[in-house]
Amino acid sequence: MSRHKTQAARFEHLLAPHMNTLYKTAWRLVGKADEAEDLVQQVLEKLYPRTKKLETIEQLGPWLKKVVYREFVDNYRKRVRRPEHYPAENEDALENLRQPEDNPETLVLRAEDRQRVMRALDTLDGDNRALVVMHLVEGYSVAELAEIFQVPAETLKTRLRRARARLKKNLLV
Amino acid sequence: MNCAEIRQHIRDEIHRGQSVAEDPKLMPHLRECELCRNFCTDMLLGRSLRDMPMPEPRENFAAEAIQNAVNRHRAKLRRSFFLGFSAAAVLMIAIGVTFIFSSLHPAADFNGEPQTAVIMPAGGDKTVRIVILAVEPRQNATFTIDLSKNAALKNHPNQQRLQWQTDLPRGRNLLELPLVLRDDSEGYVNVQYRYDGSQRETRIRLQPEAQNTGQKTITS
Repeated sequence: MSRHKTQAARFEHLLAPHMNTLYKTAWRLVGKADEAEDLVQQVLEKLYPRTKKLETIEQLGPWLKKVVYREFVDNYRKRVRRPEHYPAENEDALENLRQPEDNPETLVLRAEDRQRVMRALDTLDGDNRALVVMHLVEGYSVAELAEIFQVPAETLKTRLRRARARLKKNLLV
Repeated sequence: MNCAEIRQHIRDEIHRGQSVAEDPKLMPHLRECELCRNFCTDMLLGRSLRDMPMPEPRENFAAEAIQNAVNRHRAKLRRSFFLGFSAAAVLMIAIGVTFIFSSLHPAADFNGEPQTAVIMPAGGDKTVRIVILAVEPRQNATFTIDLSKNAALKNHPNQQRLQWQTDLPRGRNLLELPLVLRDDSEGYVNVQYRYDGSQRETRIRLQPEAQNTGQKTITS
């Protein structure tokens, strides 16, 4: 068996059990089946040359999810072609949002409406969508997210607070 | 219930897949407590996102995606190899061209200042042989020979310039120049070689035997 075949077999052995999780993770980020498949494909192509490294990772599933998130965020940033900008507190109109707090019953009710949640999620930009999904769905802590996104924890807290505020606002629209 | 109990209750309800929107135990507290309200909303959003109906990927997606990753990596390696090979080939051609012209006019520069001398016998002639190594067949290559006033080609004594076209087969091509130096002063022969828009030019110093400085000479 050639070196390539050996590597290909090892790669398949490592990745096959996680393909469903990778697809689900990608889908939650992009919201479309074909784009989710593309994202997973892109990740696999980057991972294959690193098969040896993959073999040394103990918790491959969570690690792979992080790779998908990073790839998604990288793609998003390349696509929008603009530097990251986090408005100062007083610049962010979302800070003044009071709707969710003024309508707790409606908010709670709508937070249970999956389609409405999905539509609200679609209104978030790539960075914030990834943040919300990772935090609310995957349960990553702020410290873990700060490490993944390479952003100070305090900055991330602010971003997360704004992203949730926007999401809740859009739930009530 | 206090906040801790409320949150545990929310967790339990969500874990059981129950709706909390109309839970009579929760709403009064949530109306008053912003932190618990945020906690509840976050938990519900997380559940809704996790439970979102998700379209299946296309059939065989997993196997095909893995195979594609492998195939594309191999294709990339092949491309890298051929790019590397091409770069090496270009480098070799460049070296070849340099070699050709160093064979054509060994150690001569292109600023009109001869660095290679052919020692010419006083009042006599000498045939200078130049090897042109063509890495590819050259159609309609144009040669131009320019001579100083005191130099001439033996079979064209009255011409200071000769120009002709020829096809060069691939490999080594020999250009023989039977040269005459008419006096004791130094002369030169300028050789220009053009093909496919490329042009190279250099000159060879013709040094009378008496002025020999011991410099390297080309084949004669």
